[in-house]
Amino acid sequence: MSVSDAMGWLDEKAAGQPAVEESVFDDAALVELLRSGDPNAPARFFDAYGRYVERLLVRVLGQDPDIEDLLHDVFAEALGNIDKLRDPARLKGWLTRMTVFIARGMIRRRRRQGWLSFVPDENLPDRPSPSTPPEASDLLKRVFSVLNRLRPNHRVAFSLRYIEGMTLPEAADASGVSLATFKRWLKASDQAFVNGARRTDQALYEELLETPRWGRVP
Amino acid sequence: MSERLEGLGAEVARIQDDALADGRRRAAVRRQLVSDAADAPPELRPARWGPALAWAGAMVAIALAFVALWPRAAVPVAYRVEGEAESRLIDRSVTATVDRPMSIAFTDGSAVRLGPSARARVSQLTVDGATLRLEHGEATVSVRHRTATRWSVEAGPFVVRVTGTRFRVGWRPEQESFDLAVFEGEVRVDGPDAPERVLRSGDEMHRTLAPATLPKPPPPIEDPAPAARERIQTVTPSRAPTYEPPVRASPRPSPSRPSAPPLELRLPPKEPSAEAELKPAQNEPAPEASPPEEPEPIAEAASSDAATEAAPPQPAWQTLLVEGKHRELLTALGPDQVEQAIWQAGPNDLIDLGAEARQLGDPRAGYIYSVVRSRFAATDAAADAAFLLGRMQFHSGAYQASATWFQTYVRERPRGRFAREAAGRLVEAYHQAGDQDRARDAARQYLSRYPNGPHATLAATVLE
Repeated sequence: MSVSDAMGWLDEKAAGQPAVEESVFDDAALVELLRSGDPNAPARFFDAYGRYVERLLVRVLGQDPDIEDLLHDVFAEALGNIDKLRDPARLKGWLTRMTVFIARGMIRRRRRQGWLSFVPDENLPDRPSPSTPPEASDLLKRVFSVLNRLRPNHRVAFSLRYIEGMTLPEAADASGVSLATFKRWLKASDQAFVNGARRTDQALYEELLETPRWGRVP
Repeated sequence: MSERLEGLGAEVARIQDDALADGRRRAAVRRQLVSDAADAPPELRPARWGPALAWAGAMVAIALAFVALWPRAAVPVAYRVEGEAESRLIDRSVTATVDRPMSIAFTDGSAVRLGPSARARVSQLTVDGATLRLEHGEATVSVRHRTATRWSVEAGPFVVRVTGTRFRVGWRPEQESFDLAVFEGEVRVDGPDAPERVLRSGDEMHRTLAPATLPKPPPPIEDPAPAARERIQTVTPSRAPTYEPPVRASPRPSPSRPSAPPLELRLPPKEPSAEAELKPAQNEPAPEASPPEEPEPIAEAASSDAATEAAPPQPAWQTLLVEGKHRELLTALGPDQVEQAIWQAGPNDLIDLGAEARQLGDPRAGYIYSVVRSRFAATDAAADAAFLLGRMQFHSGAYQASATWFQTYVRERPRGRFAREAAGRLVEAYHQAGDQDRARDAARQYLSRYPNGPHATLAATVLE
C-alpha cells in the first residue's frame, strides 16, 4: 500500500506536481524501521518524503536559499522525535504539520528581523531553474513579494490552499488549527493578498482580475 | 475571487514544479542525513549567525553615530485635522464642509486651511515636510521655513514646491482651472506644457486646461437609448463593457458645474491646450482672501465651530468613499448617487472604484476610467486609466483598441509604473490583432528598453 493510500490523502488536488512521487513504503513499517535504529532508515525516510517536504517548503516560502537548511531541519526534527509519533499511520500528516510549523517559524523570524537579512541579496536565485521562462520567474517574484507582506498564518493558509492545492480540511490539519479557524485565515489571506496586490503591484492585480487562464473573470 | 486565486496558485505551483525537478538540493540533504546517522543523531543546522552578527554590529554602530550626530529625531511630520487627534495617515481624504473652512496643522509648524467644500489628501509625510494633494477647491498654505524643508502641493497636473512661504492655491477639476497667489517667499510651479516657473511674493497665476474638451456629467436623458449609446461609444472605442446612465424623468439641476460639451473620447488623447496667465505682482491680496499671518490655532478654530450650525450631512457616496467601501457604493447606492460619485470623486477614488466595478463585473468600470481620463487629463490617474482601459479591451478581445490604449499610456508615462507592462502588452496586442508590422516595431522597442523583461521572450518570437 502506498503512503498516500495509507493516509487517505491523494495528491491529485495539488496543482502541477507529478502524480507519482512518494515512496512505496508502508508508513507503519517505515516508522518501525526508524525506531529500530536501522542505519538505513533515515535515507529511506528521506526517499519516501524528501520531495514532498521540499515541495511544501517551496510552496510556503517560495524560491528561498534557506530551503536546503530547512529541509534538513524538518528531517532532523522528525528523526529526533519519531518516538513521540503515536499513530504510525499518521506519519505523513505529522511530517506535514512539522514542515508547516518550521516554515512558519522561518517567516516569523524574517518578519521580526525585517531589516536584518541573513541572506545577502546576491545569493537569491534569479530564476527557479535555468529553464524557467523570464515571464514565469517574474510572476513568482511578484506573487511572493505580495505574500511577504501577509501575516505568517495568512500566508501559510494562502500557500497551502491555493498553491499546494490542499482541500480545506487537509490544509487546516496541516496548519494545526480547526477548520473554522483555517477558513478565517483563508478569508483574511484572500483579502490581504488582493489588497496587497492592488497597493503594491497594480500589474499583478490586473492580471489577477482579468487573466482568462486563471478562471472565470469576475 | 477565490477561483482566480486558485488559478494563480496553480500557475505558481507549475512554475515551482519546474524547479523541483532538479534533485541536487535533495541529494545534498540526503547525504547530510546519512552522514549524520552514521556519526550521531542529526542536529538542527545552526543558523547563519556570522553574517548576521557582523551586520548587526555594523547597523548598531551606524545607529549610534546617527543618534549622536543627528540633532533631532528623524520621524516624519504628523498632522492634525481640526477637532481630531494627531495622525500620520496617508491618502486620507479631508473635506471641508460647504459653509466653513477647515484647518490642518502639521508638527513642523506648517498649516493648511481648506476653503469651504475643498477636498485634499496628505499624500506624503517625510522628515522634512509633506505633500498635499488638493483635489478640489481652494487651500491657503503656510509652510514654516527650516534648514531642510520639502513641501509640495499637487493640484491636478500642477505641482507647487515650496521651502517656506505662504500662498493660496486653487484647483477646480470641473474646469481644470488652477489658481495660485503667493503672499510670502517664493514657490516653484510645475505644470503640463510649460517649464517650471518661479513665483514670488505678490505673484499670481491662473491657468485653465483645455476648456473646450472638458466633459460634463451625463445630461438628463428623456429618451436614453440613442443618446446614451452614442455617448458611450465615443468613450470606449470598441467592445468594452457599456453602461447607460440612469434614466431620469426630469432634468437634474447641476448648479455647481458649468455647462460643457458632451463627453467625448480623446483617442489618442490630445495634449492639453493650455491658457496660462502670469500676472504681475499685486501689492496685497484681496482682504477676504488674505490668510491670517499665523496659522489659526486648532483649538480656537474648533471652539468657533461649536458656535456654527451643524454642517449639512455628507452625501452617502462621499462617506462610503472616505471609508474605502467602494463595493457598497456600487451595490447599495442608486444609479443617481453612483453617477454623482463618478463626477465628483477624486482620481484615486475613481481608480479604486473602477477596480471594484471590474471585480463585480459591473459594466460601469470602463465608463469610470473614461471619466477619469476626461476629468483628470494629463495626470498620473488619467494615464493609469488608459492602461486599465487597455487591459479591459485586451481581455475582451478588442486587441487593436487595447493597443491604442497601451500606446497612449507609454506615450503619456514612458517611465510610469505600468510602463514596462504596457510596452509588453502592446507587443501582445498588435500580435494578437494580426498587425505584425506594428507588433515588430513594438517588440524592437520593448527589447531595447527591457531586454530581460517578462515579455522579452514574446518580443523575440515576434521578431523571428
